[in-house]
Amino acid sequence: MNISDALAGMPQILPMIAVIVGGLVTMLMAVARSHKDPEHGQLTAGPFVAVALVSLVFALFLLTQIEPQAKAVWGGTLAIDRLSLVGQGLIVVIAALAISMGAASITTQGIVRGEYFALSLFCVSGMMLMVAATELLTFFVGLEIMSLAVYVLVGFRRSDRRSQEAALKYFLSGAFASAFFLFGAAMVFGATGTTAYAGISTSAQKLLSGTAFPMQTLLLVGATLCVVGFAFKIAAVPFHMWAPDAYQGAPTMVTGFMAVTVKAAAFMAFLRFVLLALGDGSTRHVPWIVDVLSLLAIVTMTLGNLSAVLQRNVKRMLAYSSIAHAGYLLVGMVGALERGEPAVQGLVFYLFVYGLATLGAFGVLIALERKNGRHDEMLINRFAGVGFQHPALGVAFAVFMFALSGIPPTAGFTGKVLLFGPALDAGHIGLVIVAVLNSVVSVYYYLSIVVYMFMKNPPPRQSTEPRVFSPWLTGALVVTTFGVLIVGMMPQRWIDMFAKLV
Amino acid sequence: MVPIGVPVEHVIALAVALFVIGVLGVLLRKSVIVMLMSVELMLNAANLLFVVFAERWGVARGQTISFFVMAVAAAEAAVGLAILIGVFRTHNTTDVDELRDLLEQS
Repeated sequence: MNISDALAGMPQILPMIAVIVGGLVTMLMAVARSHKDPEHGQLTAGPFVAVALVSLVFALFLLTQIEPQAKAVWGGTLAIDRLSLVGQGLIVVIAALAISMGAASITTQGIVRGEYFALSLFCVSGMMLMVAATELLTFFVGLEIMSLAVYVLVGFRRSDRRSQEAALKYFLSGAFASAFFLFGAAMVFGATGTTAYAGISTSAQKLLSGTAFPMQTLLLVGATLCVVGFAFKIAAVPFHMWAPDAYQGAPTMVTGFMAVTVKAAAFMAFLRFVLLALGDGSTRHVPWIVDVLSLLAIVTMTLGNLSAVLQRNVKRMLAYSSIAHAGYLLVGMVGALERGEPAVQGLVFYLFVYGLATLGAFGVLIALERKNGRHDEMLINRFAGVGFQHPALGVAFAVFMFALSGIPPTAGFTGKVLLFGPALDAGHIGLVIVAVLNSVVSVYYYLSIVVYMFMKNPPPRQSTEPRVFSPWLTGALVVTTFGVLIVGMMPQRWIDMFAKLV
Repeated sequence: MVPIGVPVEHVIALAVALFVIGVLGVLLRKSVIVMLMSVELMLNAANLLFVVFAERWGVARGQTISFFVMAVAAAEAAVGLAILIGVFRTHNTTDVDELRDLLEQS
């Protein structure tokens, strides 16, 4: 590529640049503030949230202005197709909601640093790069921009033992997974001579139809290592061990952010890799990839749900629930491999619904956290009677739990129908039956929290520390609650919208 | 074709050996510092592979990638050591087996 190509590609990356600029501005604001107030005692989140939201909304506006293109830009490294634009938009919207929610706890949970916003925005820019990448190195750089920021965010409570422990465990397993991906990418490069997905696809077709022994093996081993790297990032069993610890130890606002955006970004990048590098959109060069993904889906759903049933800590339970959802999404991915376009729409729709519901659930947890709260406040018996003390929060939480377990009239039901439908059409009946049975199991632990909230008496002695409320958090909770309900009650409109977009 | 005079297969074998040593180091050692070094070893094994394949195919892309990977590895080491300092301040240890707060609590 040359200079004029780069200039022609410039408008396509403006949304990412907008987010990065927002991150830089918040970082400078954080520095300026630390000059004025060395104690960091009175950091007000308002200006930071405002700057972050402005940059995210502007990025979203820019995304809507870009025309989708069939051909990859920037010398074949970035796709500006509809999946890329919708994926980036989804991440930006969810991140905006997550950052609004975090504003409430920034001062009360001992996270009195403006760098939180800068890191979140840099993280979002990395995710946008991941979703758009059609080349192994570009994806890797996006992955690392995202991951390094998330590791730091998880350990943002510097004086908290659990937060530090979670950050270290997440970092070690994340770096380990990145190295696996990179080694696999090197092998794929060795077998095909290119790192662009389109080139890999053409070479793979040639290599795998022939019997060129060393190169074929190199390609397959490399692709497998890449898939292992992706499986780590989406927290699929058996590469999920980091998730419960990281989710539980991280500050709640970070857990909500990463549970949704990291998974969505990694999933869409994974989908692109499998569809475009190991196939050419409609055909697959590696026929057994469907079996591998089905197996991964079954193990992930089942183990995630069964482990979630055993948990007493709500954050850890939601971590296992997100592992189970990675399994459901893998079912959708099997469908996408078999059925193409409509199944991809279903997958993105489900990511959106899962994002709203999970983020909302963590938002309620943020609202219920007490100032300088202790860690055992996330144990399930602490939620006894909360539904009477805070009816609005209790009802919102119940809505999110219904959505996550896929009960109508919430969007979770529509999402699951669209997600599992293509796989069923393609004849993976056993897989879909396992998925539906798993959804039934999940109802048990989702509703057990609701039962505690509405059907048990509150414990006699309670902390008198005030709970956290902020207009930003309230606004984000209203948006997620009504989002889940409205999308669920009028699904056709939204399905049509996603069908037009993706 | 390879001007370095070493057969490609040997370099590949070296890269695979380095990678396996790195994997074993992460899985078997308990000190976080050694685990970090092992991860760096894995990244460098991948780098070696990129460079040797770039020679073999006669394209510059593999060489370029290795520079990106070095930058990423440096950033990763910086973040990793910062997190490790945070852990050492709160736990007074760098042994992963002694970090069990999250398991015991639930």
